[in-house]
Amino acid sequence: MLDEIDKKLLQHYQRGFPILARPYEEIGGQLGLPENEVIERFRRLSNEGLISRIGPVLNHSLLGVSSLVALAIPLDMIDSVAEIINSYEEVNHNYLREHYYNLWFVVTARSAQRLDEVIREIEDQSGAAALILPMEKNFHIDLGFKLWQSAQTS
Amino acid sequence: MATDSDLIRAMQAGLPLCPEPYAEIAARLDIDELELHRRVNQLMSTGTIRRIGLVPNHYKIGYRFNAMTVWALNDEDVDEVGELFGRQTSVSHCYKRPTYPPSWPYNLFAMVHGRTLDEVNQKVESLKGLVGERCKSTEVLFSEKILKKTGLRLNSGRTENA
Repeated sequence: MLDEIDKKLLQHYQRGFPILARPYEEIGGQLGLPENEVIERFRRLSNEGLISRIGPVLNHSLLGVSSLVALAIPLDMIDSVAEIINSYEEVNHNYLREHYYNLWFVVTARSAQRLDEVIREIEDQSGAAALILPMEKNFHIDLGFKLWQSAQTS
Repeated sequence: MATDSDLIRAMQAGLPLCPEPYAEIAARLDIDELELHRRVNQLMSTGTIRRIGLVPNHYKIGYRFNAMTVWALNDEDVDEVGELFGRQTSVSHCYKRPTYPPSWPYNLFAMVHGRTLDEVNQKVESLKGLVGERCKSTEVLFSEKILKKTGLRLNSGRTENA
């Protein structure tokens, strides 16, 4: 079970992780914990799969060209089409959703030409026409994910 | 000399859980630790790195339900509604995207997460309340299954300087 300290670690260090020689000691200082306890708690949260990693979150738009793409695929073909889509290293998210357009994935490529090529290849192999939905404007400033109301105060 | 791409590749799998994680990364890159701090700060200020921190696994923490809500709005209303949605703590992403009428008329996307279906539905209802009559039609697409999810990474094929 997560205690209040775990919740604070998960909530408050999604951004602003210290960039200095001993970041875990700095976090410990902020929360009143010894450095080794901060490290042990992060290790436990990682081992339990609650943390994917501690590291940089990159800006998509600076890394290449990306688009959300949707396909309408008959249910009995989902697995085989998903396998084709997932085989591209340019695809980093792929969700099955309840809708006529049921496969939703994000393609991020090094160039617009490569993005187009990946989408055309997936269309050819799946036999479905893609809805190509690149982001035109972002309205949300990404400050990390708010997990608990109670751990909000800082 | 390590490039920015080298630096991001060395860090993106995660900082090690040891007292001096940056020193370990710097050693792998064969650069001075203070040089690493300086360059990480620089990549943050240029926006290449959006933030540094832990990346929670929402699903494991209990956020089992995610809904992609899509909204058909008049062009002149998109910015105002988008900014309104973007300020809601219930919304994790909010984007304007192109439409393909009549099959896909939705120009605004907002992602909503919750621990229960009820929680997600309540959040969606409150968004409907905010948008009011400006919305011509809306749909909620729940996720049934995650088929692939990896953090956005620089991979070996991308050699250009990020």
